[in-house]
Formats: sequence, C-alpha cells, structure tokens
Amino acid sequence: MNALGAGDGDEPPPPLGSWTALYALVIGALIVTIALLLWLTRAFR
Amino acid sequence: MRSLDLVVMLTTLAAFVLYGLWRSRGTRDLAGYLVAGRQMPWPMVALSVMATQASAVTFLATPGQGYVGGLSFVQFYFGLPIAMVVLCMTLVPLYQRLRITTAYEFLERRFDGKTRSLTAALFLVQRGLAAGITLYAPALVLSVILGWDLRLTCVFMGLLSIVYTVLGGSRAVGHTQALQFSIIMGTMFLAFVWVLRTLPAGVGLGDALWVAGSAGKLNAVDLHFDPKSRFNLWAGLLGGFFLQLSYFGTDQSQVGRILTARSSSESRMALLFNGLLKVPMQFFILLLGVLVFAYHQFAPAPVFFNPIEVARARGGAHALEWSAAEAAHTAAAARAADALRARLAARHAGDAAAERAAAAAQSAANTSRAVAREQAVAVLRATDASANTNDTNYVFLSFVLATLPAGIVGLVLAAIFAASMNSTSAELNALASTTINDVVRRIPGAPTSDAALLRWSRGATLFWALFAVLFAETAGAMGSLVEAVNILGSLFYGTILGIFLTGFMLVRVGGNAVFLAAIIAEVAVVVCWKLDRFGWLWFNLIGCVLTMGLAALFAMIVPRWRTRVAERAGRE
Repeated sequence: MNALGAGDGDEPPPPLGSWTALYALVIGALIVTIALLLWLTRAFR
Repeated sequence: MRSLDLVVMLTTLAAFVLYGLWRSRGTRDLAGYLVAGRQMPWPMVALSVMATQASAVTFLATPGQGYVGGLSFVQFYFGLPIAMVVLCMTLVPLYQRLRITTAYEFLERRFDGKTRSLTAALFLVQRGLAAGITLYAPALVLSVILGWDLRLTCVFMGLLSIVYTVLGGSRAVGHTQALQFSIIMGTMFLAFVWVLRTLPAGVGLGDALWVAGSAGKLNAVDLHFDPKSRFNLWAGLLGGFFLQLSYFGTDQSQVGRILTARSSSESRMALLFNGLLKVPMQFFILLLGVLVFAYHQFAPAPVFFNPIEVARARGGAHALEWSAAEAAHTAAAARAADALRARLAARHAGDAAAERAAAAAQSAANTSRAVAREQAVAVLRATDASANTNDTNYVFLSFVLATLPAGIVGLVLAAIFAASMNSTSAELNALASTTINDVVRRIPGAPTSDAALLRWSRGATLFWALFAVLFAETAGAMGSLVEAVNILGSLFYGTILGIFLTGFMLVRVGGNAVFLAAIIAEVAVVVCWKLDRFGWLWFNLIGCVLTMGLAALFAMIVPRWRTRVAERAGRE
C-alpha cells in the first residue's frame, strides 16, 4: 500500500516484468561479480 | 592548503548547504519532516540509501585499506545483495503496508508497547553514540591533514549538516544526499583517472595491476574457510548477510530512508539498485587504493603517512633515529623502484632470466624498506608511548595532497566533508524520528497537533546534533575509532535483529517472551564483551540467536506468552 492507499497491484510492473526476475538479476550479478573477482585474484597472482 | 583548494572546497560545501536549505522549503508537516511525505522517487531513495551507508570514513579508510590489505575487504559486502533481496521479499512490503514511520512501530503492532520501547531505546543509545564517533573519526584525519584545530573541525562538520537537517528533515536530507553522493562518486572517479595519469610513462593499467598482483594486493576472493579470518568468501556471504540484514532492516537510519519512497515497489527498486551497485562501488574504491600502492612502487612514499606523528618524531628525543630510519626507507624504496622498472622491462622483452634477477633485487629492497618502516614505527612509540601507529586512514589524502592539481584537491576534500554530512544528517533524522515517534508521542499529555510535533521534531534533531558534537569531542579517548563504531553497533545489532526476526519468523511468540529474551540476550552480549573471549563480529550472531532461541523457549514454557500474530500485525 502506498501513501495514497493504493496496493502493489495498482502499480506498474517492475523492470523485467516481475520481482522474481529482478531478484534473480541481483543474485546473478553477485555471482558474476564474485566470479570476475576470483578470476582477477588468480590472473594477477 | 592552497587558496584555490580552499575556495573550491568552501564554495562546494556552501552550495550543498544552500541546496539543502532550498529543499527544506516544502517541509510543513510532520510526515514531510520524518518520512519526506512518502513522496521520493526510487532513484533518489537509492542514492540516499547508499549515501547513508557510505560515511566519510568509507572514503578515507577504504582506499587506505586497499593500499595496505589489497582488495580482500570487498568480500565484506558479498552478503549485501542477498540481504537486499530478502528484505524486498519480507520486511519492506510489510513496513510499507503498515504505513509506519519508524521500524520500531512495527514491534508494537506485532508484540506490545514495551518491546517497541526497549528496541527504540537500544537504537537511540547505539546510534546516538555512533553519531558522535562518525563525526569525530573523519574530523581527526582532516584536522591532521589540513592542520586545523580538531575541536573546530568537529563543530564545522556538525554545523554543515545541522542547518538543513533541523529545518528540512527527511526531505531535505534525501535530496541533498542524492546530489552529494553523485558528486562524491564523480570526484572519486576523477581521482581514479588521476592515479592512472600519475603512473610512470610506459606503465599502463595492466602493468599497475600486475605490480599490485605480484605484491598480493589483488586478493579479492579467498575461498578458504577460516573462522579467525575476517575477510573470506564465506564470512562475507554469511556474516555480511546478517550484518546488512540488521542494518538495512532494523536500523532507523536506513529504514527511515527506505520509507521515504512513494510505494513498496519504489522502496524495493531502491534496495535492489543498492544490491546491484554496492559491491562494484566498494571494489572501485579499494582499487583506487591498490593503484595508489602501485604508484608508490615507482614514486617514493613517506615512511609514515600521519604528518602529526612524523612531526612529533622529528622534534622528539629520538630525532636522530627517526632521520636514520627515514633515510634507510627512502634509499630502499629507490632501489626497489629501480629493480621494478628493470623487472617490467624484462617482462615486456620476454627475458625470463632477467625478470627473475630483477624480482630478487626488488624483494631484497622491499625487505629493507619494511625493516626501515618497522624502525620508524618503533621510534614513534619511543617518542610517545600513546602514538597512533596505524596510518591507513592518512594514505589516500596524503596522495591527494601530494599529486592532484590545485582545485581538484579542494573538490576531493569537499567530497569527504559531504560524505560526513550525508551520514550525519541521516543519523540525526533517524534519531529525531525515533525520539518523537517512539518516545515523545507515547508520553501521556504529549502534544498531538501536527504543528507542535513538527516543532518538537526540529528540537529533537537539534538536541541529537548537539549531543553528537559534544560526544565527538570526547570520542578521542575511545581508541581505534572505526573499531569502536563497529563494536558499539555489534553490541546492540544482534539483539535488535533477533527481536525483528522473532516477530517475523516465530509467529507464536508473544511480547513478554521476546522482551525477557532480549534483555537476557543483551546482558549476555555485554558479558561476552567484558570477558573478551569472542571477536566483536560474533556479538551479532550471539545476540540474535539468543534472543530468538530464548523467546521461542519462553513461549513454549509459558502458554500465556504466545500470541496469534495474524490478529495483531495483519500479516495475512
């Protein structure tokens, strides 16, 4: 419910169409970031 | 400090304060003052959330951390994106649906008034003291670097945020934070580009990374599980997750920012944006420190970065030993730089034998440099037994002052001050919100009109601002300040998180059970701290697990202490 009393259902859908997809994007980005940092750690050891 | 830098710094800071005052105009009611009328768009909330977490110490200490310890600190933030997702799925929609002003209001709906009061009191004590330390820590570094009086620097930093925070409340804070944070990050990017420019001719980013990597500074991920090691993948994912969950979900400094969004969706977008960008941002700031390290492998670094301690040693009873250590350090650094240049040239030419020989010479020179540094630190201690021998916080500003052009230095200094304004203003607003919402409004006979409560809120903000400035002046006696802030937080965060998680997860536990459990858990945490048997990071886990475990136990033993949650909190 927002300040005007409207529930989430009245709001436009989030980018990517659903919250689940957005959550997956954030977790996926974390996994990719950790993988890149792991590569950096090993490549320049 | 050069005149141009002073002009740029003061002009930038004055512009921030004026912008904050301009944004204060629309604040005429209590909702506007405490939660910005719940009208902030998500990009502003996202920047505000990030700005609140990134204090001045972040921008002073993190590059220094990169210089000294490499990239390993980035792992501390690995749990943050997961915490953001969990909060978006649980507490944020709940907070928005209940239309609460402070996080502690939820606890009265879920449990009872005394649980709300206890948690609000824990927050006020912890955050009130932390506000003083977060003001003092950067003031200490800036006063040393700029040669200003420490007390005046504290007051100056406090005044910068007090003006618009008292007048404009949450709305002014949110808008000012968004502007300041954008400028801070732009300035840090400028500094990053400048570090690359200062590298010797023929040494590019790849070479700088190779130099840093061969010195063990690109240690971004450590897969080994070691409970004693603070920074590894598992500690970051697990410990970081609980810490960030507690900070963003139960600390009013952050909950207050999240609640300024127009809707639950906008709050969630702001947190997910933070979840996406926080790790890359911390990596970028640490990498800045790592590149400063690479720069100092070619250009001489001071034997010690804190100029006040250096001046004391030079003028002290052991001045001759200091000069000897300084000279040995400079000579060893020059030998190491020559060997590194030879090593790089051999590497570019593909001459493995020459590269090995140069590496051996560089290693020998670096050992001499480390010995000279140890001798210098020993002289500092001999000169003054209470000398601060940790100079990590001074590394970045020393580099800025020594290498950046006039004008840009002023901008970097303004950015550091602005970062302090960001976190201080959010803390003051959160302290005022909690004081008014969870203390004043609950006192029988307290004012009820919107206009009177708005006046009280402004008074509460001013009270906490003065408290922070006064406490900052005595914070110097607390030893390591960054550690003091973390210990202080860890003493309370576990119990507070335990109360909230009990409310959310243990649906049959009632107010009496969690109240008693929280008091016992808090006493146990304080006892653990006094006994000095555990590292302070463990206090978070101990407080949380004890609160939840004891609350569940009490509710099981005493049937009257159970509750039917759906009726009280609307968690349908």
